[in-house]
Amino acid sequence: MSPEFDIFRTLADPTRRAVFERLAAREMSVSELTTGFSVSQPAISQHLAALRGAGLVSERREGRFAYYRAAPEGLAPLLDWIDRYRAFWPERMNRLKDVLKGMDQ
Amino acid sequence: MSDLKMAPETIVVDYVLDEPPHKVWRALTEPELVAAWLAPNDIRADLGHRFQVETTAEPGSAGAVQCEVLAIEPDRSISYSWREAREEGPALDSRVTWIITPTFDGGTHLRLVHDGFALTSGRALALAGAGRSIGRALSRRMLCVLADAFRIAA
Repeated sequence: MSPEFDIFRTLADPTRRAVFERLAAREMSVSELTTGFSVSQPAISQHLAALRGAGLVSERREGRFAYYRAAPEGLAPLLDWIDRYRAFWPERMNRLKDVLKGMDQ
Repeated sequence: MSDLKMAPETIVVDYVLDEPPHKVWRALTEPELVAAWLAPNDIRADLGHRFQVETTAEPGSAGAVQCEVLAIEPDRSISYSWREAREEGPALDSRVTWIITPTFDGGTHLRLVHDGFALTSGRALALAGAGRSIGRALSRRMLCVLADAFRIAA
């Protein structure tokens, strides 16, 4: 499974996106996270597990408490995908120049 | 090539060409000519026309890129959606726009804009994210890429 796929699939779920957004703002515990969502704490925990599995959220344990925060480096494969087009288009436009040279009026 | 101060995930490529605008327009919108510099395709300069470009920008891409003409102004500009199918997972959506401007000496200034990596709700969410204190962890660029994911899911 490609990392890009994992990231897209993981963030395809609206609740998971919302969780990621909130964790991008600051570190939170599961109970803090659950406040404001009409979703049960076990459900939030499942979303967190998926986000962690995709490398999008990191966990910090402190005694019996766990805190979560967004791990933006998990999004790096997506940046790579966009960057490939940065190389792709200039190369194609050089070919376009050649095509233009060879065209009839 | 120059990057404007646009959204972080906008690709802009500029070229100055000796050929006149109409010739450039043809090279961008006639399937045989487009095939010679991009890939086999069935493009047509008609609003709403759906076509395929049989190219892949990277390993992992699957099949042809699916496109639809979104806006068109003959000899001036054409914009189409760019949906890249993947071997696994959802297709990745963006938008390609070509802008043709005559130069003083009869040539053409051609600009490519590849954007739309974050549209509609994704853009709004990215702005909302950038507008509040998001700490050092998430850069604006990362938020925009996050918005790509929103866009895909929309």
